[in-house]
Amino acid sequence: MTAFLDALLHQAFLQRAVAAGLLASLGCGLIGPWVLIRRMSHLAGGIAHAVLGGMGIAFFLGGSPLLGATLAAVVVALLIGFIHLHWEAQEDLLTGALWSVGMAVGLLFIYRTPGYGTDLMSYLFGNILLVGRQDLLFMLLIDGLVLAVVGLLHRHFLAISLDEAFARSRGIPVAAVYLILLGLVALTVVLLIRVVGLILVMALVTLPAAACSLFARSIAALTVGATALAMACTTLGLGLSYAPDWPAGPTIILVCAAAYAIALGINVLRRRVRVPAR
Amino acid sequence: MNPAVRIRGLRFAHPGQAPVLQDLDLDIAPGEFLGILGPNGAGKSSLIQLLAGILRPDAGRIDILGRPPREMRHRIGYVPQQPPPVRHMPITVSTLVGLGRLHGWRPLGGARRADRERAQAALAEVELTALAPRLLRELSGGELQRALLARALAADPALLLLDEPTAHIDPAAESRIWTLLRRMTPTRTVVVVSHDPALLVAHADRIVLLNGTLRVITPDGLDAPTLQWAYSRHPEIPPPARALRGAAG
Repeated sequence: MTAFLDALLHQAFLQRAVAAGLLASLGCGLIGPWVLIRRMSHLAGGIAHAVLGGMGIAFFLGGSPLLGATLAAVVVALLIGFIHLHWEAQEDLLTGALWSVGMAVGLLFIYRTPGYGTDLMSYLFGNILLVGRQDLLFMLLIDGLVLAVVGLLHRHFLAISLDEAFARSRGIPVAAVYLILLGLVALTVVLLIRVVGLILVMALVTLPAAACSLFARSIAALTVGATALAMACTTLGLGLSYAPDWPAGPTIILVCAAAYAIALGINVLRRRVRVPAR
Repeated sequence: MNPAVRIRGLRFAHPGQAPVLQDLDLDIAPGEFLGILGPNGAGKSSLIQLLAGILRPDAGRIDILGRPPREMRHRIGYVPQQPPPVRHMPITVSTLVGLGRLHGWRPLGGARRADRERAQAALAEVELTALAPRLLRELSGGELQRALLARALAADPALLLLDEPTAHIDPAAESRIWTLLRRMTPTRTVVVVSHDPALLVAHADRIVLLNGTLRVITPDGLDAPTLQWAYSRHPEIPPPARALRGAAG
């Protein structure tokens, strides 16, 4: 860690990496609680993996992979939302199909693009050390958008997450609110691609929120806690990976998993203290 | 006096299925406590959801205080059949009840002061003020059901619709909720779906028997033959006349 802290003072690429981790954590903290509460980690996983389709097409056409990812994420989110609203019985199957088909399309297009190897790995598993100024601006923009929409619609998200029938009785446009929420999940996935990659995105979205949900007493507390924990995990993961030259994305995810395991342990102990065994 | 609810020629079918409700006519007086009884699949929940404006009729008309349900949502309170899964949610009772003030896209952002005050009044109405800071997962089944009732009351509804509100709770909590509901009339009109004839006889002003067709009786008309008819597979055969001596519809 000392080597990391020392390098952090002098190396611009490392400073950008830490900044990217913090910006990604804000997105995780804002959206993770809703993925948890709405129980849509499978849907979010489908979006994350299907995004590779858009990236592959963008690679092939010589366009921006992040733009391709953003467009694909929004289109897949709308498709999954449409499936949920109209073909709920087939939701699980069709989401799984989108998950695989998206990846297959992406891999085929990337295969047909010369020099694909390095980029493919960095998008699948992330490479936070390659984050540039443009990426940081893009992440800041998405964070701002997600923050604004969650701030305005958090009670509507809660209403449709608790029970849709009641929300409908209040005239809440359930379909529109749900599609907006899925759209935000899609944007958050894109936000995290540079940090941990498509494959590992869901762990960073869900684990900090899941750890904090054991202790939080409000959605606001959960959001703040999940953001802070994600920030701590990304920074610590980056620091731990630096000296031994491990890949940062998987290290960050393992730190998140360790944090969740510790939270579970603390919660079990807390319950035992509250209810002593007879 | 104009009815609180007027239903004329109502027909409703779920997509691709035979109609569950056909040619239904019914008036519900302001301040009335109306019970709905019938077998599974008779259309009880559909009728409640049609009244709440969640479903649309295929034919016929529903008026709530003289206007279609979708225009009167701000005066309707609804308690759904299934309590939401709450174990994984860090949501307090007061937050839940505050959601009853949402209407359409409004209000965006946080709760307004007037909304908070109305939510507190709803909590007091169901005797749950002391539990306002509790998480939903810390409540008993009966307390959770009262919190859901408070959420419906937060809109200060003229018409309160409840779909089997005590299906998942113990008898003591059940009795408390029915007493609370009875207390809400005549200020509000209350319509409750239940599978328990004894509770409806004890609390309702009139009972709707729904089984392919509709009959309205007073509680003293709900005897064994009527009940047998209400749950029979051949509702087209009318119940014995003596069984419907209290018929009012």
